[in-house]
Amino acid sequence: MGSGVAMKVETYAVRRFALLLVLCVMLLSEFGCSTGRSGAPAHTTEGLEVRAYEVFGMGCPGCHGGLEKLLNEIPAVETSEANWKEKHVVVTLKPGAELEDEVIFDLIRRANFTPGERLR
Amino acid sequence: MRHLQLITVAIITCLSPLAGISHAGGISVDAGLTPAENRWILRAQARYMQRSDEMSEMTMYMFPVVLAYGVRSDLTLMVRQIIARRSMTMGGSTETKSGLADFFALVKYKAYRRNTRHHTFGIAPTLAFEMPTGGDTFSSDTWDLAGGLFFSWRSGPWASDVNMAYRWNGVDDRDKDGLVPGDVSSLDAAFSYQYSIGGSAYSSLFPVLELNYEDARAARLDGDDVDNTGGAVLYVSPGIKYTTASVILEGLVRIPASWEQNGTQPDPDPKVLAGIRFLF
Repeated sequence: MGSGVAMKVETYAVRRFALLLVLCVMLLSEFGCSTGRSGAPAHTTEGLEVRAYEVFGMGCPGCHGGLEKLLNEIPAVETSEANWKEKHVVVTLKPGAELEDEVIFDLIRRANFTPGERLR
Repeated sequence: MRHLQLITVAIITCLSPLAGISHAGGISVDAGLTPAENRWILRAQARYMQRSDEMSEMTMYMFPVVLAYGVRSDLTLMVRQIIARRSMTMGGSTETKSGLADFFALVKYKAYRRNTRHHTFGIAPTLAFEMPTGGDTFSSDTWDLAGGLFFSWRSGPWASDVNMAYRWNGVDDRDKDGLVPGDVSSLDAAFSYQYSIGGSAYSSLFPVLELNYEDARAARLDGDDVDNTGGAVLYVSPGIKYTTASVILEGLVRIPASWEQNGTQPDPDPKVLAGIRFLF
């Protein structure tokens, strides 16, 4: 009897936790996470300066989000899109904005990656 | 004789949940690589373990919530709080308890990282402590320290990791009922292969195989070793990880493959963990 009641209470608690977890996932997916895919792809943006840089050390989809976050915090940057498979990041600057390559290289290092050549 | 058996069961009952809490880690892949500066990682897991013998049965659920932050590119801070629930059946009656386990904090430092066009290699030492903040059932009631050294290697779709750690339990010698779990050394090796889903750069699937070795010294009671506690277990742990730019789903089963335990103890049982990480 006692063990039956305990099992019922336990099942209820597990269900309640699962429901809470699903709700958290939904909320965080909606508001909490940058996907790194927002905005138009940089290379199709017209009238804006678009640059591309080699980046080494990005090994999975979870890696390049950290670099995009750092780049998107620069006032001169309109959007950035990193690609771990192509080993590069494309940075689109705001109209009239100026930005030294060394600033980009520094941010790539702060994301724990290694900058290569500027591709364009 | 029966008196001795009951004492043994009581000690194992006290130590088992603490052991589960102390040693339960996640998937070890990429542990030697620190995240980007200003990167937040929120991880929630569900873990399940069961332990039984002819006299008792224990079922335990643990829900660790971990928050990590890249303070600098070479320094990561991590805090962890576990919510635990334990059901204990002994002598025909079942007792269920829920509560918080001890608060855990960790610092990881990027000692070395080399990124090239073809591979990435990283070494990261860690230092951690656990405060006795948990509820009665789930706290060791002592301050514990842990140190680790993590190595990660990635080459194309292949990744391998080796992690070493040592945990000093009861460093403050202010133990509950005079009973302190023994120190634990562990060695983890992880191998994984990355499949890009649909060939895209935005989601990947990683089958993972880990070998986890844990060697626990005997528990101490008023400074003396306690019989029938401590021992070494080797787990073989197949798992899977699904990664997108902002969410990681992971699952792993730790299956005991070989063990040598001190005295008379129940055989180690498999442990199951499932988790989700948000990167932002």
